[in-house]
Amino acid sequence: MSGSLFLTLILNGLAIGMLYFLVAVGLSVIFGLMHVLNFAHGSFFMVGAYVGLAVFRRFGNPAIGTAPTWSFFLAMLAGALACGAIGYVVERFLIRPLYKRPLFLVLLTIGLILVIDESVKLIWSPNSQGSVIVPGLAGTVQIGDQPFALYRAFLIGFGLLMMGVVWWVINRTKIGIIIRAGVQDAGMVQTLGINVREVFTLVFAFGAALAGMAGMATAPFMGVFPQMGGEFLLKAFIVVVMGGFGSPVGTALGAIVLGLTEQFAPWLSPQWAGIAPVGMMVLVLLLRPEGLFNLSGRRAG
Amino acid sequence: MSEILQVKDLHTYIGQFHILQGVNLTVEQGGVTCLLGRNGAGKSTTLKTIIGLLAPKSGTIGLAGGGAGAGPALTNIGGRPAHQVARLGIGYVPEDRGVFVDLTVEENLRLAERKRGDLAAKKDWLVKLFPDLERFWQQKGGRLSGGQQQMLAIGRALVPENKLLLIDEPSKGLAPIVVEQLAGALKELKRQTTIVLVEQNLWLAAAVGDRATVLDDGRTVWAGVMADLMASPELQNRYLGVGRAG
Repeated sequence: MSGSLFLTLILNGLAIGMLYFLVAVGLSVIFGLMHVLNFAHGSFFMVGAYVGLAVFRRFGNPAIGTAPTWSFFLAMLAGALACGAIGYVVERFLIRPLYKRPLFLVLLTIGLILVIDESVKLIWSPNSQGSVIVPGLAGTVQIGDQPFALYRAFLIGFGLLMMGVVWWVINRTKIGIIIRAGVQDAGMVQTLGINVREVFTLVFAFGAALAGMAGMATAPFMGVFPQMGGEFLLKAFIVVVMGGFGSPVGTALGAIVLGLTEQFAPWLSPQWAGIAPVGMMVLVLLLRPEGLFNLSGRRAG
Repeated sequence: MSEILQVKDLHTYIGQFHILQGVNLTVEQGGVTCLLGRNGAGKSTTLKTIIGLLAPKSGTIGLAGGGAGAGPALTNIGGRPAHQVARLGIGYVPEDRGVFVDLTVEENLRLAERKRGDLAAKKDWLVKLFPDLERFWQQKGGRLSGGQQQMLAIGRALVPENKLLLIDEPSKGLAPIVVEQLAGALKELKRQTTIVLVEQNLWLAAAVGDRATVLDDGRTVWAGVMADLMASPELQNRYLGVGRAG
């Protein structure tokens, strides 16, 4: 393997890993804090892509799938806001009454997948949408003898920025202290005068918003289609299981490990590449059964 | 002396189990009221019901100034969610201390702020009361010893302006010398606030307690002045099991 190919594989792994991080971090913190396994998280991701695409196309030429670069950032924001709003409503009015019935919560979020996915098909058609080209981020840069898509370089930079934002919120703000404490013992946080339920809603909405933003960020990478939610949900679960529920740092690490695994596995062994992500998850669990950075389930002591 | 808390005929279930079967507890303003009794008598459940972690089936929990006005009238706070009860000025230190092991000492304390600046205003006083808190200010809660965690848990309940502290068995698992330090801190504290202290260690209860209420099988069986309980081996034997509950 040439040095430039090796570097390109690493960069590709990082780029896809950043998308996995954006989808999985909400899933991880939501489970860590509220013990809700949100199967509809992938659907938020997909809705973000569709809403974002609608905004993107408003400002451009749908026939060739392009629009001004600034409208792409507006589209990501729109995807995030739409999913944040949906997440707020879902938590506040559907999930909140069921916190004491975990099985019902599983059924609810699975039911939401059907409702959201079918609604998207009704509104936008069940077919895959055309390609999405962001003019300012199109093209490639050369790494040695290997071309590397500029958009993937953008994804790495944007992903690192979002990791930084999430890290800052979790580690440097009062809401972050509440979240970290709540992951350990939400009841104890409540006795300190903090309305944990409001924090739950906020975190759920924020997690959904990040997933929606990731949906639009994925659009130029692999298009927009109704099944994209399910594909990314599975990847997000693998990331969260590897990283440890409730830990954004673990999620970041898990996402990068998964991204790199997906890039290197086909090169190392094409016939095993399909199961490499699950194989990596099994390996991580064998070495660290609690995940790379598990915070959830640790009682205040 | 006026009452700050009056619990009347409190009944609480945990699942299908009828744990509190008629708890009465009167807490007067100032000093320490000890809540005593054998293991399983319902002491911790009483505190959890008062703070709002458990909902009472029946009975009332009257708190002075618990209503919209700040007057002395008792308002029933039974069944309100814990965060609302806490915001009425009740601090809670649970039996397992409730220290967040992945948060630093400072973060554990900041968590209890009800308004920005609460901790800054209290820091000097807190670290004078519990000097170890300053030494380990940036250490994770999980790295502290049991005694230091207890100081942190009590310190955290002191960050906001609480008029009543509910402290559940602070001496549990602590070395005798640490229990002595704790007694000193509680004596200092009771001059400034009202404390309800659940305690199995009769030495500590006697050292700091002014009044006592004894529970047995989820019911109040005795209430009076702590000194009277200490002066009566017969009462101690009947309700606490001399030599075991001590």
